[in-house]
Amino acid sequence: MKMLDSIRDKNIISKCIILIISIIAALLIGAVFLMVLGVNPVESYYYLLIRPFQSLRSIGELSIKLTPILLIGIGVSFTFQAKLTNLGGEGQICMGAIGMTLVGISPLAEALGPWWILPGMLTAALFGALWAGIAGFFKTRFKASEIITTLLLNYIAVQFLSYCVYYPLRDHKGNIPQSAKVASTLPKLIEGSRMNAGVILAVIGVIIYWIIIRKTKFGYNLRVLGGSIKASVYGGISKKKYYLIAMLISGAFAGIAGSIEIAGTQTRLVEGLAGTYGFDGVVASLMGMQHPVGVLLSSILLAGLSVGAETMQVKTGVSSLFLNVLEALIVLFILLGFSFFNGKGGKNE
Amino acid sequence: MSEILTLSFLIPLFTAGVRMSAPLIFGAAGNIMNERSGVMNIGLEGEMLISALTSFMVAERTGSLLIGVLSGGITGMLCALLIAFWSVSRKQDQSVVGIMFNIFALGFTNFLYRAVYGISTSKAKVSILREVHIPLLSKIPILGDILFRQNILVYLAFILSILIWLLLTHTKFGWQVQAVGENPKAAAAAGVSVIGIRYISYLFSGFMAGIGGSFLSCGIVGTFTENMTSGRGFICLAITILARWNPIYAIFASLLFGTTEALQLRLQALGASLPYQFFVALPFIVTLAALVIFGRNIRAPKSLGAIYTKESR
Repeated sequence: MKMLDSIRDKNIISKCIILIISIIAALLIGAVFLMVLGVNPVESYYYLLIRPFQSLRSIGELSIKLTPILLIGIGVSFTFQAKLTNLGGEGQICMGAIGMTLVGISPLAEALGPWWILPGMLTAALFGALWAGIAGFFKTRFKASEIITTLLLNYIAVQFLSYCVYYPLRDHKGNIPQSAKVASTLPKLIEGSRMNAGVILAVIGVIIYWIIIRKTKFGYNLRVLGGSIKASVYGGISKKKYYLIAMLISGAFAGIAGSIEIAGTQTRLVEGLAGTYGFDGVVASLMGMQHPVGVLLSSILLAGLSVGAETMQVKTGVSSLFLNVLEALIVLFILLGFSFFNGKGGKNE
Repeated sequence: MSEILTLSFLIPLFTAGVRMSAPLIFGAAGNIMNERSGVMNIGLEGEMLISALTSFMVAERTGSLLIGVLSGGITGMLCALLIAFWSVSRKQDQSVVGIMFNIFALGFTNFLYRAVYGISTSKAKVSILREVHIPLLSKIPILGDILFRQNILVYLAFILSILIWLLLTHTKFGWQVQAVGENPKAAAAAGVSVIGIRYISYLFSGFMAGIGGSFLSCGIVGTFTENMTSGRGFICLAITILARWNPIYAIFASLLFGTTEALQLRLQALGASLPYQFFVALPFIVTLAALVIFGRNIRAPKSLGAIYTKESR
């Protein structure tokens, strides 16, 4: 992440200009792809870009997609700060969701009423943190690349979740492999939409991130390790400890994202609930350059596009995963833009 | 479960294991050369996925598997060119570029496949590559069945890995690749073009990944399914580490994973008492375990992943 950090302290306006140009360039290339395959790009982009922001209902949909993208975006930003790459958001959401469900269908939840959500979220955060912690431990103890281990752990967690809904947590009342409903759900915020209180928690997450990174010794040291701060005194910071803690925090955020999926949106454990949120979060963090406001705005944009992509798929038949193409192009163009903006590209080794 | 230990179970198992290992050998052997030159390619998974689709599409349209596989290789190379431009020329973080490329590839293949073939249930198909029986060798009992009745790409995978090993260890070009991976500044001072070598390595590894991807669609399944690489590119990255950046070791590591994959499919089909999810996750559990057990404290090319900037005079 050296590269992104070297930019951080430069002019914010030029950053925004590069970001906007990158988004436009990605959309233009996307339009060419659509046209080559005989799809009307204007119509597709109307559903993708404009529709999601037009009705209260779709703003509600945006908010329930925003929650996991933002939480994971913040989580991976912690690791990016330390120059670690946590690509395990998908797996960590799954583990968090499993933790949440375990509490939510237990007698404890019956007894606690709506308050079950608190111990539920703690369990989810713990599950997510431990899952990311495996990669952190392998990194610090065995020097195993966290990039590869977090990716591998995703595949394992997805299968573990599938196993849970097929066997131990299965609700035998129906034919669909899914768990029973959890005791109660997060309160709805706006009548007539699915927006729930989870999105507030996600925004609080952004504030926590801002405080930890900018205002605490821990955050300062993390940035020293990541190379975004030139510190004269480097010694005294235990690299391993910080790597491990950054991974744990990151996993906890993803775990909480999983818990909100359960208590806010799905109401029960189902397969595929992690969707593409894991990598959307990584994209949000990169687009926002790990800046709290940047990550927030990027997450809003990506959440809106995700809602739009689903409408586009229904209306025009273009795969909703077309959004991945745009996401990747945006980030690649941002990198390209900065490499020219900085003149020399990245720093020397 | 006693049927597992019979020859009629074991021979097809290992035959399939060798076949399944071929795409891994292509991906890993190419990636080893790439990493030996000091650059990482996390985008391997995406290269394989896009190539699996293009090779299938070309084979389906032209009716020629050969042209299909070849265009798969070329697709992989073009993908690698893109990644190399961002990583080598524009000096961006290699892992970030790779991740973005994978995200791109997943969306692009999904979009392209649906746009061309629709989402109808009757899938377009091509006939898969035929087995080529090696004269005499294929007559050897057991071993002949397992090793010498495979399709042409399987043989090619083995031959190419050995050639890459020879290239890296016994030729001037190979020494240059290694020098660039170990100490690019010194290599540049000795007159080696660091950027040139890294581009060649990327392109070559992209070609190999492309053939590996083509193998999945044209060599095993005969069609394209969404996200059909399902993590094989990542397993290739792990094999690179396990094989200690040696293409010969990569053959053995790939055989281990290929056989695990063949085994999990067969155990599932046998209706083993364990849930099927365990078997699907098995190759990834094995990879993770292998990384931790065998992968520790081994020496990667010294400048792997570091950004190289040409010294100005």
